[in-house]
Amino acid sequence: MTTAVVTDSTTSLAPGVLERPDVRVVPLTFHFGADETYRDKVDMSNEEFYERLGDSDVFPTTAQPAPGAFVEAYEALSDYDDVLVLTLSSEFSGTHDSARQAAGMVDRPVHVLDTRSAEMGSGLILLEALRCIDEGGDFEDVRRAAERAVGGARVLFAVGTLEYLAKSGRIGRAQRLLGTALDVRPVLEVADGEIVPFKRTRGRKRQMATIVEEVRPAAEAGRPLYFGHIAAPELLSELAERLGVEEKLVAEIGGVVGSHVGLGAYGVAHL
Amino acid sequence: MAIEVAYMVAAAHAAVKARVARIDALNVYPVPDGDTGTNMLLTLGSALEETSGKSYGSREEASKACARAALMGARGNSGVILSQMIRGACEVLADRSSLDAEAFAAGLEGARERAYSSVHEPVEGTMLTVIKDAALAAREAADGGDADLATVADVARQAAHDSVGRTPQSLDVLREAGVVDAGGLGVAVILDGLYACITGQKIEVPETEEKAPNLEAIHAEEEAWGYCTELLVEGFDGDVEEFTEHVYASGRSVFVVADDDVVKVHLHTQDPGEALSYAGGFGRLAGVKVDDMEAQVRARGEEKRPAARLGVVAASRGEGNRALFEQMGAVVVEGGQGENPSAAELTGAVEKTGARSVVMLPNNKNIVPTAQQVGELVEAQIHVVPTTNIAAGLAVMVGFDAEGEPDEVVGEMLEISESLCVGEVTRSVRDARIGDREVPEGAYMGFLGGELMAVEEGVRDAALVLAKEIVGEGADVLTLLGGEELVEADLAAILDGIKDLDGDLEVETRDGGQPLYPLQMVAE
Repeated sequence: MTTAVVTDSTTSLAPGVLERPDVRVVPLTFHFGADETYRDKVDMSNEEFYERLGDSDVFPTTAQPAPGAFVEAYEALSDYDDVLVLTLSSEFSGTHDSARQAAGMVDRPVHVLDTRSAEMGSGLILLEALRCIDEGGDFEDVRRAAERAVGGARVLFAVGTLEYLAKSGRIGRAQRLLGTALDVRPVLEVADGEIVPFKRTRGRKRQMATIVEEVRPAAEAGRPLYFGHIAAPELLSELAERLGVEEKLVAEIGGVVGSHVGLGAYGVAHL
Repeated sequence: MAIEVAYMVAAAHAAVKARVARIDALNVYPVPDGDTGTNMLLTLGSALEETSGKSYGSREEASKACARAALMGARGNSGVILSQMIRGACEVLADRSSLDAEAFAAGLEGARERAYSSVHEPVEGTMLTVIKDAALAAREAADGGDADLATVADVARQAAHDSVGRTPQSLDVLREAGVVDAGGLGVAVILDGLYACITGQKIEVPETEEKAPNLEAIHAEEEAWGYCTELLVEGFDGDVEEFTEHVYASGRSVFVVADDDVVKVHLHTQDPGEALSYAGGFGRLAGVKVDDMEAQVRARGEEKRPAARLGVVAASRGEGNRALFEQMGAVVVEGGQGENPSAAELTGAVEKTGARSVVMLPNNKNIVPTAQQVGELVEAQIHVVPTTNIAAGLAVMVGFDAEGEPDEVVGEMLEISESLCVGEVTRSVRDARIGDREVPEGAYMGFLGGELMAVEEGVRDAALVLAKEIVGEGADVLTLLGGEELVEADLAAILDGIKDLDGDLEVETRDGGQPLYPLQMVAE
């Protein structure tokens, strides 16, 4: 019995994952205005995207993949007995619906799982599923491993501004961080598929100290960590250093999630 | 047999294209992301690209190709649902020998079924309801017997438009915003296109089926914050997109509706003057209306407001500071150095919060004892966070969250308060001796944590002595509150001086307007 995994492009991919024959990635798209459409992490380098995001006065919009794109991915994996699909949180996007609709359009069992997370969080969940496959687990084992990871994954991140999240409508309960008369640098958390406020802090140093304090127990216990950033490599290195992590897994956040959190954001996921 | 389908797809595409801006504009949420029309258009565009100029060997082949192209090109939620409608219709039509009245009705039924089953929890008052009503009307007409294809298509499109008009009755968000459902209108417009294609007629586009957002409904829902500002810009000359972005960035509950050269604006802002002068740069202003939302809420009385779990009372001086505290949700009592509020005034303010648990920010060491006394005078539970200046009080407000768990929030505010380094600059009113320092009358004294650190002739020097100490202690953020006596040039020089001391320190300046203290500061 063989299992393949399909995920969407908002999942951070560790080195080597994209080259695996049993993994397919379906891109979401982002748009600068009506005329410019780009496939997430495919059509534009992250560097160029960060530059555009900084320069542009239009906020990019994003769109879920068409169900047909998932159908193609499922069909391309016809050599495998089972397909597990790991999607971006359904609270953020209709990607999960597209994947589910596509599952009903192919003549084979496809199991769609909502990671309730994104980027580094879903990246860790994907790694757990792949590890189970590599250890010879059958489909049920792989599914259970992924579900366990969904339950345990947590992302803490710092944003330079809440402006992008507020405009994107994906701010969720972090809404109440808005409207302070002084500049705040919030620390946010992805918890059960949603963005929730973790702490309001002032100043970069305290913002980072908050994440360090919160993630340190997981780091010290050797739990899997996945770092990510949007044009903030120095801050990220400092974070990893303060957590005492040397061999770190680092994702550059792509255009779709980047459009919603803005430049200068960084954070870490742990299981 | 060569089958062509592009002409039908092209008609639907053209119809949506003609109305795409209107459909996009039907956005209930006050964010500039209305893209329903665009997404539906792009989805149809994908089907058009596939079928354009092609003829297929069979109806089945044509249907499959068209459905697949729509599914591949589906964009956004509305596009995905539309692609399922196209798929459903194509599946039905694949088996028909010709497109007649019955087949048209059956096609709409196929579209309805696929659309409903594609959505996890179907919501009525959306494009789902519109396709359902259109399919129902088409079926009735087709089963009547003597209706031809054109009649059935006409009945379906009429039913769709009627259904669009009823969408606000099913969906509260639509009713409150005073708009019809965007995706639903898209479906009706597509049926217009198909009808036009079938009859070779030019269709009439109804002018008034959607209304501009109903501001009354928006008012009822929106939060009481700042000044509600409404205006028209006539003879609009400029980039509407740039204008819209700016307005969205400068307030809340924002609506911008552009129609030819007239742009209607609604927003809540703390600074209506800025909004008016910005808009005035794009054309002539008309219909300007500015209401103080917070005053309106105060006037409505306390009964309507549900008891908050946690409130804040802040003692403060200066218009700027009052606005800052109020913006963050505090009830302000005027009072500070030289004008301490009475316990009765503080008690009244506590009652005004309507909260069961209230944080007191005395913002002056002489008011701390009075604040503590209030606990014995009111039913609400009082937590005094002993802030010693206004800047410290504002920094502590950052931890306030009216919806949070009161004990946790109070703990957070106390924690912030303990980590602050508080400073201020004031003038000596007489010759004095403090410790071993001579302080001549009129000298600027700089205090840090209540301790005299600087005696200087000018406010700049005194401020920079304090800043140097603060930088030495490794602060991260420095907030400066300018008092009513502080002049622009002094502030600019102080900011330059701080930059020279530490380029990395994040400095935030606010015009507090407090008397007696040209400068208050807090370092974190």
